[in-house]
Amino acid sequence: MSHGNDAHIRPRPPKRLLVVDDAALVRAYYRQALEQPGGYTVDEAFNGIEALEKALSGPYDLILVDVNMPKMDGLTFVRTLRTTEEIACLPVMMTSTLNRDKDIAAARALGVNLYLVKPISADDLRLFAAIMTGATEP
Amino acid sequence: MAMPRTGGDPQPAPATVTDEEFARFCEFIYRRTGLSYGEAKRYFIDRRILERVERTGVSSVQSYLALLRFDTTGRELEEIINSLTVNETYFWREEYQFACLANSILPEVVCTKRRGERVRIWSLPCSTGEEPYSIAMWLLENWAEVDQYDVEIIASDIDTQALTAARRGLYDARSVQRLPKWVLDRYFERPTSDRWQIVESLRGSIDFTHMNAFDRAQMAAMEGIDVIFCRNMLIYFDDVSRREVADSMYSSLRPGGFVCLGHSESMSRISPLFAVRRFADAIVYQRPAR
Amino acid sequence: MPLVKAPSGAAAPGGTPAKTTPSRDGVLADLNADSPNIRRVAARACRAFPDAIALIAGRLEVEEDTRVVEVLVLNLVAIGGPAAAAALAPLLRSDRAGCRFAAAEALADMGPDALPFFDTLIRDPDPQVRIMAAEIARGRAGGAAVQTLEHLLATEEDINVCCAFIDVLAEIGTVETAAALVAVLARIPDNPFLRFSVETALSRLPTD
Repeated sequence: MSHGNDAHIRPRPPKRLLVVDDAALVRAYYRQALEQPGGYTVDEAFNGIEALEKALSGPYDLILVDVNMPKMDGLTFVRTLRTTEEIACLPVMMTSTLNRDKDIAAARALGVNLYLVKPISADDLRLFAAIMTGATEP
Repeated sequence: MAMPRTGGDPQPAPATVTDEEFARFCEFIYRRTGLSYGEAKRYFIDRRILERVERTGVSSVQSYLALLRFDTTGRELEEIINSLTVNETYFWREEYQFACLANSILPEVVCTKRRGERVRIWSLPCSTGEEPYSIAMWLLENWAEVDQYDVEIIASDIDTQALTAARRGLYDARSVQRLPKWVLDRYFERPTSDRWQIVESLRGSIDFTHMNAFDRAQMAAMEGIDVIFCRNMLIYFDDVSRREVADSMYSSLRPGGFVCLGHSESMSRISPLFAVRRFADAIVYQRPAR
Repeated sequence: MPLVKAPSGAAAPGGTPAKTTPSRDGVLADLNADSPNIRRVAARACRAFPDAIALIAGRLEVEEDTRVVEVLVLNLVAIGGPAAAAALAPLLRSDRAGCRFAAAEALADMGPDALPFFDTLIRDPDPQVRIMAAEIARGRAGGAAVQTLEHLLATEEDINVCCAFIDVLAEIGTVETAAALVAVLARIPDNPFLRFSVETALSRLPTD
């Protein structure tokens, strides 16, 4: 009996994503796109402050964050994340209705790894989440 | 269980909460408070909603949800949150926060203090005194540096009867049930077999003051606070009121000072003013040092 | 015993001597100070001035610090009335994301005074402004805003605006909202997110 294939047999633990958006329907859409077919574990946060609370209680493999949110917007969240030691390196995918070059440049400058303009298809969400988390082979 | 009624009552209480009503209720509570419930809690939530439908006398779950959303007094929200989160006060309630205070918050607070400088802790609201006395006892027993700093504990409430009870410091078995025997022996007297009273020296060392958290001038007079315990109060206020109180608390804190909320509460629904801090025992909120 | 009380009851608010009221000139100067802490204290103080709305609106045009914006916006909500709402309305098109949402939340908290501004902003040519304006409907004026959102949904071209309206309607809509949702899906049948939004919203709306 060979033991050499154990690494292939043992299932990898699902990647954990944090979805941050104040819109309930957006969170629900991301969850259904990523949880069942994508195999991710999805947690939700309502705004940047709750996202920081959850990120600090993580760990997460990727954060998907909106821009326009109450109390703490997505850009402020990313700025805070990048200066908070324990979570500074977490990959961030920003999703927004804002599509001007300057919006995207501002997000990049703050340390957003990938910026997607809404609406985003479920296929694209899964593809980019997989790339960002290393969940599939390139 | 809703029983069939006989005579005179045209609208018996609804016996079920539909899926859409459940989803709407959960989203409302999540958006409002941060409390998150899923299908696993369905039975529990349904029971609470139906109880409130019956108590308030509204005709349907749908009407109840409308009442919840548009009741400007906030009373119904208070009722339903109370029924979702067991809210009663007793000694060493949510003691993980006192552990956080002694293990993480105060060590950071005293870093910026000269030896001998005061540490000021504010219990708002203090209700009948269990919280401020708990803080005092916990620090005396568990904070390694307790002998090196003077600690001032201020305890405020809007309810003067609660304040009178707090000053008297007399409690029943339910209030003290979480306390270990040696704490009871050290800090309480037994005037009767079923009553425990805080020893006079401890009672005398806490400042009990009347305070309306909505009164900006009253709140503004409180300055230089290092830690505020504000547990299970803001969750009941409407959006504007709790933002105002959070703003007043921010002003009362020294730069770098902390706010501890109740375990069901999150600053994410209240105010953008504070930084989130995660310590080993708890998440708390901090007025940025600069 | 290391527990101490404040000297001569200074912890009691009533026992503290009243602080000298800052001069108006001092507050105005502080409102433009470099330190956000000083600006914040000045912002709190200027609520009491008779021309507070103009002062606050002026500062809000340039203020970058979230903590100062919060105080300024809270002042406007506390003062209330159409003039305060008018000072908040232009902020929905601000380049500062935090400022946009703080203004929308404040208008949501103002109730009927915000309605005329909601009615204008929700028809703004800029879709980003329409998206932010929809947030106002979640607030105290929600009942009156539902029909406006349903009506505009019938012709709204921007998918993201449609979805923003649907998200708000899922929260505040009535039995009648379902027809507007079904209609928008018939008009725009092939966007998966819009389809998901409509189907989920329909499952959350009241049914009788």
